[in-house]
Amino acid sequence: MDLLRLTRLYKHSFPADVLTNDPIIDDFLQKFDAILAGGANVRSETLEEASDHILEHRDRLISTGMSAQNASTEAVSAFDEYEELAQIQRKSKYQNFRKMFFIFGVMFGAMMTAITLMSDQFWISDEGAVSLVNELPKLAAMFVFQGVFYGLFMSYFFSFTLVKAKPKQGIEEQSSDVLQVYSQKISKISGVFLFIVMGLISTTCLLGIAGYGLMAENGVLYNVVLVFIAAPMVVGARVVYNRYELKQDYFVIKTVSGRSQIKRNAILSLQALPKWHMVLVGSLGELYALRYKDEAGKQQKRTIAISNDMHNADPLIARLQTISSENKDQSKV
Amino acid sequence: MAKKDTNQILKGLLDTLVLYVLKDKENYGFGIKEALKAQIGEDAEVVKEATLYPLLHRLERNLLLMSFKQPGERGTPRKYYKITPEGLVYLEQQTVAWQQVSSLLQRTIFIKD
Repeated sequence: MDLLRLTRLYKHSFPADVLTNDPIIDDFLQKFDAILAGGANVRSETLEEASDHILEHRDRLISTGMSAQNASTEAVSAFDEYEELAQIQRKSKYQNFRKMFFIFGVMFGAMMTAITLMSDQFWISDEGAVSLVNELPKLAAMFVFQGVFYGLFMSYFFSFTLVKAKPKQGIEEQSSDVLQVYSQKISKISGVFLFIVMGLISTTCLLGIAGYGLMAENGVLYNVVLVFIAAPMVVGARVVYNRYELKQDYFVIKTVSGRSQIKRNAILSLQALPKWHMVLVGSLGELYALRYKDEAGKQQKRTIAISNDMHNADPLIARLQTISSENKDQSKV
Repeated sequence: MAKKDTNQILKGLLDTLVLYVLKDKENYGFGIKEALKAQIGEDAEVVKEATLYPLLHRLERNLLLMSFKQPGERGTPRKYYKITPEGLVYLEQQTVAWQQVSSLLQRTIFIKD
């Protein structure tokens, strides 16, 4: 079985949006693509960077008086170590897959086994009380199955299909220099789906804790654990409806609970918070602490959630950090 | 052999040089290569694409750089690299370390010459 082909199950064919309309460069990109790992969007990341480099090099050569064809040939041949670059890309993806497989496998295997053990139903059978020792082989098999199943699924998804959202310029941005940061449509649909499914699970388990409904038979502990898993996702799903706008004078934050704005020249710092904060406050996006001065000149802190799938998420973080550095420099002066 | 050794030394220095190029302003792959060329001249030829991009990606994984995409002049997404606060601290530390190496060479090998 061709391992490389397996990593490219999600759109194996050449990603057409990378084509440059320059036959020499496009030939090269297709050759390069054939030895890269991952789905089309993952490979596009490497191809786009290579294509941008080659096109820039070609244009530079043309500006020195070289013919377009010779410039393309030379720019492509300067990228002659592409096989080595592809090898490094594949190695990095495989390493990521192995790491994720282990982390997700152990995590899901342990979680599902623990949840099973917490269910009152597990401990009762037709022949009476269940002995844990007798059930160990069954539990071990369950752990391995869950671990391998979820580990494979999640690590494949994160290593070979998931990429950051592409930057997108809206009409507003072109006219008034506003950086708009918002989730893709598919993320908003997923957010609603997550809210409904996890909301139903949480509600059923809460009813179960109170002794009502389908989940009542599983016991309190089982239901409490499921509520702790599902409820943060219900709360966290709101992040996909966050929208940020970085305007000439203000940074505007729009969330489901309201709109607020901070003066650009009042921004002091933007710092990424540790991942465990995401679980603590129920967020599906990375959390950042934004420090700024309010109208009274008092220092304030605001936590903002930015999801990787949001358009222009990275430029926003970069610009906010630049703004805070500039403000710091100005305050020193 | 001497050329090969020089290349090895330059490659060892590359992390610091790339961070230095990005110290004041974000830049993209080709732009970084051009900036390196402006700084170190033809020796920058040792920085092949197969060296530069994995290096940028490694520095990004180590949180010394962050990247973001913005539509470039052609309208296609262009990946920019920007130094992080951690990257600035690392650059300062590396600068001190290389100054020590340089000082050591000045006091020993170079003085004999």
